[in-house]
Amino acid sequence: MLRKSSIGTQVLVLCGSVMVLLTFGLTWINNHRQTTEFQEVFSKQAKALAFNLAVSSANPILEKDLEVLEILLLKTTQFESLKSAAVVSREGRVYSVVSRDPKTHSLKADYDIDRIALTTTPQQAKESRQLKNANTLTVIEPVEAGDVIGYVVLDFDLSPIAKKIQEHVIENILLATLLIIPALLGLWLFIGLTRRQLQGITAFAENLVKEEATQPGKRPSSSELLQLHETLNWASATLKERNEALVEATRKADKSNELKSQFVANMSHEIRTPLNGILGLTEVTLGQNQLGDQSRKNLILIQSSAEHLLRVVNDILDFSKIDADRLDIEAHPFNLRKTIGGLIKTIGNAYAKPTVELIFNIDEQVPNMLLGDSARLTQVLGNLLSNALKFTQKGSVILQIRQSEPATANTAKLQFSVRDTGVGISDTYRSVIFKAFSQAEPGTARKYGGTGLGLTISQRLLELMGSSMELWSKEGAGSEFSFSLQLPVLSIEEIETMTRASDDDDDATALKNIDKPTLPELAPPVHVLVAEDNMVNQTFIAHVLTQLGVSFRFADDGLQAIQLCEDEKFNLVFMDMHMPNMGGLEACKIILGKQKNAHLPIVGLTADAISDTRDACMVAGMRDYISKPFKKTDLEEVFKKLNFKICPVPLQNFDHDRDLFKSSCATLAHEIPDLITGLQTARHAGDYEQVRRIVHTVKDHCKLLGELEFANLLQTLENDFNDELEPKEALLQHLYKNLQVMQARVHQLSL
Amino acid sequence: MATFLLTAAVGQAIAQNPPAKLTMMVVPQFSVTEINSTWGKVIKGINQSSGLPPIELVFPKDITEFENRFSMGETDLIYCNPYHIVMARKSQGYVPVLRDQKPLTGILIVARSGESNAIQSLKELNGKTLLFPSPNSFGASLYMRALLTKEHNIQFTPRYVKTHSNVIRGLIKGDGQAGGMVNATLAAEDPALQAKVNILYETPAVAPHPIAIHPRVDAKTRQTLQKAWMDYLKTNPSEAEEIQLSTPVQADYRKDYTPLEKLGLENFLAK
Repeated sequence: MLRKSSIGTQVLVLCGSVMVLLTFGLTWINNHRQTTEFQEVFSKQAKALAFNLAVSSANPILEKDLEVLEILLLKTTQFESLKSAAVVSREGRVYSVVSRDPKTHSLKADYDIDRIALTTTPQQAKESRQLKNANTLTVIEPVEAGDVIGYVVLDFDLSPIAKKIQEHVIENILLATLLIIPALLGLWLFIGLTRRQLQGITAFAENLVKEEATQPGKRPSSSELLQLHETLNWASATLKERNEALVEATRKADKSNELKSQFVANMSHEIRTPLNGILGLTEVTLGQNQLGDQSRKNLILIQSSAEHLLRVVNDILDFSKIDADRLDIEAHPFNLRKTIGGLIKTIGNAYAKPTVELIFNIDEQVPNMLLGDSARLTQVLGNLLSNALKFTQKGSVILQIRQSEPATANTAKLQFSVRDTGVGISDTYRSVIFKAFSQAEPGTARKYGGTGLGLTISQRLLELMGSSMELWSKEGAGSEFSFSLQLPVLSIEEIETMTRASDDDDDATALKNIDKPTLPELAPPVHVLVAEDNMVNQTFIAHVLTQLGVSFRFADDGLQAIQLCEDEKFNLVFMDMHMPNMGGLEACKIILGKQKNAHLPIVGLTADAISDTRDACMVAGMRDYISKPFKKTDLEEVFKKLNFKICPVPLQNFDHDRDLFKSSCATLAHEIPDLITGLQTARHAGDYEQVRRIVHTVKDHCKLLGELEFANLLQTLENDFNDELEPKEALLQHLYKNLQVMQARVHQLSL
Repeated sequence: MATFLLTAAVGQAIAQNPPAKLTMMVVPQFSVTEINSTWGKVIKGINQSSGLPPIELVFPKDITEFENRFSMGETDLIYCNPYHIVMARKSQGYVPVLRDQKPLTGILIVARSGESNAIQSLKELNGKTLLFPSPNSFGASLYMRALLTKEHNIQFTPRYVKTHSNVIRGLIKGDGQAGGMVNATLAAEDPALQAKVNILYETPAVAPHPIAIHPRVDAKTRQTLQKAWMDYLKTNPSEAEEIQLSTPVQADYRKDYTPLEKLGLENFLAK
């Protein structure tokens, strides 16, 4: 109890106890000493009185002067404690006896007592004796005159002495109490004062920590507390200074870190934009047939270098975003098997080695439709798989997905592991590899490449997803990286809703197919505005769009884009975010603000890999956005998503010459009306041979433009003519209509 | 005759030249200290009020010395028992001036212990030991012994125990079969003690102890002294009580004490 109580209580209890014990101990000793002394003095006095009486009694005894004896005895009346006094003969016969009268409180002769039993042994006969019982002290003093001639016997009442002693004890105790109370009070006040001062100092220290008020309290009165107080004051001042310095330093560091992140983001943007050009153009160039083998090899090397550079930039960007806390984990529904399957395919393509088998195992129980950030999951697994493949020369790399706990209705706990039979990681480097910019061994980077950020990013991403990476490894035998994720499982209703939404497009296509099962159609003209200031990207996009058979116009900035939308009719706009004069978001809002463009689909192009951009695009009214660097397939995907029927043009038919393509289109555009007219005339004239020739020509044109399906249709028509069958009217009508579409398209493409 | 003349001459001289102080002696029937305290107090009071030469107490060792000294006329004033004044008159011509009104009666007391064996008559005292204060104590001893012997023919062994108080105390302790006291001294004893004795016999009443003045003190001074004593005792009754003079009256030798001269007590005096 004492240990939990305050120091004040402890001191008070200890000092108080010691004081009380000491005082009462001393009082007891004092009492004892005084009592003993008192009794001794009394005893001496009693003896002295008895002795005097004995001396005075000798003569009267011898003279038998009883009156004198009586007077002698009566004179002792002022000895208040004397109960009775007697002078007796040696044998105990009473000469005179006086006793205290209870009424008058004075001694009075008693004539009724004749004898007092002395019980004296011969040895005691000449001795002065004192007999004591509870309340009486009896003194027997021999009266000597040569021999013992009698005794003086005095009976003292001890009760008044006992009472006096008791009074004395009470006085002593009262005195002790009187002394102790002010002492305790003083102690209590002192402790109270000290405690208040300590509380003041504590409050001061608390405030110091809370940084509320650094105003010190009152100065304490004792030197130790004063020292503490002053030390705290000093500490306060020093801490304040240091704190301010720290705050300033932190602010600077934050600022500098922010600047760094901003710089890295800017740099990666700046790097990704040209990379887009390199990758795009390399892709475009590789698509051309007439390349020599050596040039093709070189271009493939350029492409792989650029892709590598892109990965590095992506890693750095991810890392800096994680570092700046700007990376968000998103949750959207995804198909686990499909997603991972895609990843395995990509990784397999990129890192495949003939000596290493890449295996993907997923338990049947693992639910398929989950809610989570599939992109980040893919990134982590991609990192692990690519690392595993990189560091494994022989054997296998296995991606295993298991359910670590049975899935509930709502969530699934999944265990992901990537196991390889590679070099393994030594104990020494096991803790190092998760640190930024480090690889297992300094030589690793040179041998295997990579930024050394992959695992760090993966680890941080997993932490953001509420998980963490675990590592098992044995040098020479291989490694296993594993982590577990708890992901919400999509309910059946949710899956249905989602499936319906995603299948909408397919359904629409399917319906069209049902309507016209045997009649393919030619691609309609699609006119696209590309707002992009970067020349290389313009070139790449131009190539891609030309390959896709889409006509396009470029705008160098947002203002020009707005103007072009006023002047021309576009089916789709690709809008870069960062352009001089006016950015993409603002331009987008203005364009969509016009009545005639209200439903114009606009797709953002951005090199910012920050998720804010996506939200910004959607808020501005864009249908979609593509991150740079993008590929031809990314653009194709967009057209498909937005339900544009696209028919890529086999540019090899035009020697990859855009001008030739354009002029060919112009020729075609000019030719098609004549073909339609010729076809109608020949048909009316019943000149089926002519019709067949025209159909054949159209078929060749379709083949030239890559409309192979339609070419097949025309082939069947031509075959009909060859078999001299009457062409179906509906088929011919379909042909007329499509020729008009083709005419419009090639006309557009020729501009 | 020469002595008388000398004394007369001295008296004359004193009469002519008033003495610087007066001396007084009290019969030692009480202890010296008691006499000093009781008589001393009264004399101090008189000395302060009378305008006379101061009285000084002198103390004889015992009754014999007292008798010797007043017989030689040593002190100016004496307080003595009735027979002493007879002796002092005869030897020096002391004049009694003051006595208590209450007469003095000698009494013979016997122990009451066990009514059956208590002494009932004087005859029973024949051959017994009788306690007396001292031989010449007047009422308790001298007069009593004379009466018991001459009037009642009783043979007894006297035992002198110094004081009246010792008579009654000795009696109840069984030291004697009877004891002589006077009515005043018995009355002064503790009632508890008085209750233990019976009065067996009484002497005829006589005038009690007087204060007497030596004739060398002139008549006028004697008169002044008498008045001073009388006045003081009357105004201080408690002090007067202590010296058995609570009702002081003028003493007259012829009327009060001449009867004693004929009692034939000479034979009983201790010399």
